[in-house]
Parts: sequence; C-alpha cells; structure tokens
Amino acid sequence: MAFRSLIKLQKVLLPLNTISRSISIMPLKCGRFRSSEYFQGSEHHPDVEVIKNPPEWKYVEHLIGKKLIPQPECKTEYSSGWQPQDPEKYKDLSYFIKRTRNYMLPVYLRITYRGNRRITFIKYIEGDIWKLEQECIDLIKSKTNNNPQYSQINEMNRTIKIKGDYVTLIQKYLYSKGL
Amino acid sequence: MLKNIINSFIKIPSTRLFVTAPTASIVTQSSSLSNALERYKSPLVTEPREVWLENLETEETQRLGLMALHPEVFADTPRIDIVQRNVHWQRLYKFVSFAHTKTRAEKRGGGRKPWPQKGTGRARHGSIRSPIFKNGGRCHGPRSPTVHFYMLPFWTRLRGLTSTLSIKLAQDDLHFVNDLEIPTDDSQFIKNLVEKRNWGPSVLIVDDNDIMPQNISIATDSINYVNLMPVYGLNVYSMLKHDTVVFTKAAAERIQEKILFHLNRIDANRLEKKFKLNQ
Repeated sequence: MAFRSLIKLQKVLLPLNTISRSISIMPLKCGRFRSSEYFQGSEHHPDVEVIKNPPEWKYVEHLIGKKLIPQPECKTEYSSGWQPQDPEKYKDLSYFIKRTRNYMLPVYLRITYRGNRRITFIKYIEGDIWKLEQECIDLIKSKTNNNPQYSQINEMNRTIKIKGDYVTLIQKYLYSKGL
Repeated sequence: MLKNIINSFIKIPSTRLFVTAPTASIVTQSSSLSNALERYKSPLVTEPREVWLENLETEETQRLGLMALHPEVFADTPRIDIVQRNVHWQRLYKFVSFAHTKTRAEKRGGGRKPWPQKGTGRARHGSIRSPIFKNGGRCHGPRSPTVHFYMLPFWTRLRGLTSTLSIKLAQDDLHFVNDLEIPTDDSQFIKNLVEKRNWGPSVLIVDDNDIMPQNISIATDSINYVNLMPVYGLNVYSMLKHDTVVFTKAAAERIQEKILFHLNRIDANRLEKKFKLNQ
C-alpha cells in the first residue's frame, strides 16, 4: 500500500524517463516473471553441456527412489529380532505362511471394543490350516496353565483367529519353524 | 530505498547444466521383478503354472510350446468373496437410478385446509397431499438421479484380478496364443475355431495392443459372442461374463508384470488413501 502510493507520488515528481523505470518495478504484484527478459533465442544463452552417465547421477537416483520393495540384506542376526524364511526348516511342514510384501510375518493383533477384545490374526496360510491351528493352540495352552483356548478358522480366506494377545508367542514359534 | 528494490530485481545469470537421465539404471529396477518371482520358495506353491502356448492360424489346436506363469498371479487363492465384491462394484459404479417420486410439496394442489380444524367430527388435516392421504406425496421416496458410484479399495481390485485369473486357469478356461494372426477375415473361420476347440458359448480375446490385427478385427466384428479387449481393459466382470478368455503371450506377460509390480511396489501406502473424484 505504502509502496504503491510512493509510486503515485513519483509520477508527479520524477521526469518522464524515470517514470517508465519506476513503473517497471510495479511487478511486485504482477509476478516476477514480468521482470525477467523475454526469450531472445537459444544463441543468446550460455552454452549447455550435455553429459551422459555422469558420476553425480547416483545422487539423482537416490532422490528418485526405488520402485519396488528391496530385498532385505543377508545377515546372520538382525537386531530387531526379525528372521528371514528358512527353506531348510520349513520344507517338511504340511503348511506354509507367505510373508507379506514387506517380508514380515502376517501375524497381527486386532483390538476392538475399546481394548476389551484382543484377537491374534494370522493370514496367508497355505496347506494344512487345521494342523497349524492345533499347534498354535497347544503352544498357547502350554504357556497358559492349560486353559481352554478359543479360535476360529476361515478356510476360504485362509486365516486363523485366536482369542487373546499371543502375537509375539506365535511369531517366535513361526520363526523357529523357519516360516 | 528505490535503488535497493531495483537491485533486487536484477536478473541473476542462469547457470544451468542439463543432465540427460541414463534410462538403463531405471530399467534395471524392473529386472528385480525376477527377484519377486523367486520369492516363493515353499514346496507347496513354488511351482510356476505351466500352460500350453497355442496358435490361432488353424482351426485345429497346434501346441507351440510351454509357457510358465507366476503362481502369485495365476495360482492365487480363489477368493470368491472378493470376486463378488468386484462384480458388485463394477455393476454399481456406472449405475444411476432414475426412480423418482414427488413429495407433498411437488404434488399438485394441497395448499388449502381440506376441512375446518374443529366441529366436523373428522380427523384434523392440513393438506390433501399429506403422505397419509391416498394420492398424497411420498415421504423419503427415491429421488432421481441417484448416483451409486463408489470406489473399491485398490487391493480388493487387484486381488479380484488375480483371483479371477486363477479361477479361470484352474477351470481350464484360460488359453494362451502366440499372436492373433488368422489367415482370413471370414467370421466363419472364428466360429469353426471356437466350435472345434470347445471354447464354449462366449470368448474374450485379450491382446497387448489396442490396435488388433486387421483379419481378426473384421472376423470378430460380426460375432457378438467373440470380443476383443486390450490388456489395460481387463476386468473381473468381463472375464466372468465370457466363458473362455484367450490371452496372447504378450498380453499375459504384460498383465503378470503389472500385477507383480503392484504386489511389490514400494509406495503401496499411497494407494490406500481415500479415493477423491478430483484428484
């Protein structure tokens, strides 16, 4: 506001040649692109060097990011407790659990009714789903003073639900089976 | 002060350096799809599904070779509930209901109180178009046009494709041909071919390209039960509608690559956001 009134004032005070100059800075409001020169043809611009496969390209690549989920690095032990699948261990099992696309075990905790209902949920099960469920129930029973355990099998969706929070227990069991 | 402002507008000479992107390094990322292929190590599901590659040049089937298909795409658990949800969605998203009823305000007349409030011995009423009147307006009736558009979650759509492909393959309704070149543009040739190969009452032919070869386009144009479709148009409804689905080799490879990419893509959480119409 103050700036515009200043220019109005200068229209009166300044001689003609400086008026045009002072008006040319009006683009404070119109946008900066008006203040730059128009394109005069590529011959007036500095030369551009075209480089193929420069050493700096790896930094650009780093910014672009990966398209697919990378495979985990091969280590003997992982600090998070995560373990890769071990074909030597699970090859004789009659069931199989597919890892998720992030290489994690598909064992989840579902909390509903404001934390009152906790359900352990296993999915991506292939093969003998009944045997896996029985093994999980036996495992939980051995840890919980032989209390009765409740579970549900959805054969079509290939999922198991077990009442209670036994996610870590089942994950460790599945890791020990090489799944 | 003015001088300072003018100085701030002085153009800084541009020091640009164009760097052309080496495309090869991006392309190599797609080769890690083969890593995704190796992800299945289970003895239960490792085996890729092998199918015969057939030809279309003759009416009789000639087997040209074997083709391996990825089990995650063509041997997925057949989730018929997900297939049903896909079909329901495909029916509904383009459906607009034109059922319409008039409310008491839109009905003709009814502005006058039919009889006095008191003294007649009859029930009190203010309008003859009230919903409890015969020929009265309808309250909460259907209003036209009602749009039934909704979006199915991305993973349900993807899983619908893999489920349907797997169901079709398991039921021997999926056939793979090398290309769509046929010797004539006579529709009788296609009719005989479908008859001899036992392809059933309807056939969907899926190609990689949306510009099909001339002969098969002309030959199938007059047959209503043989339809052509580019691979980007592949959907659950059409696959179920047609008895047999015929893929060209290129189309099968393309759909397999696309689905495997989505199953292994790193920015999958972007797909789980709420669908916006104006995105």
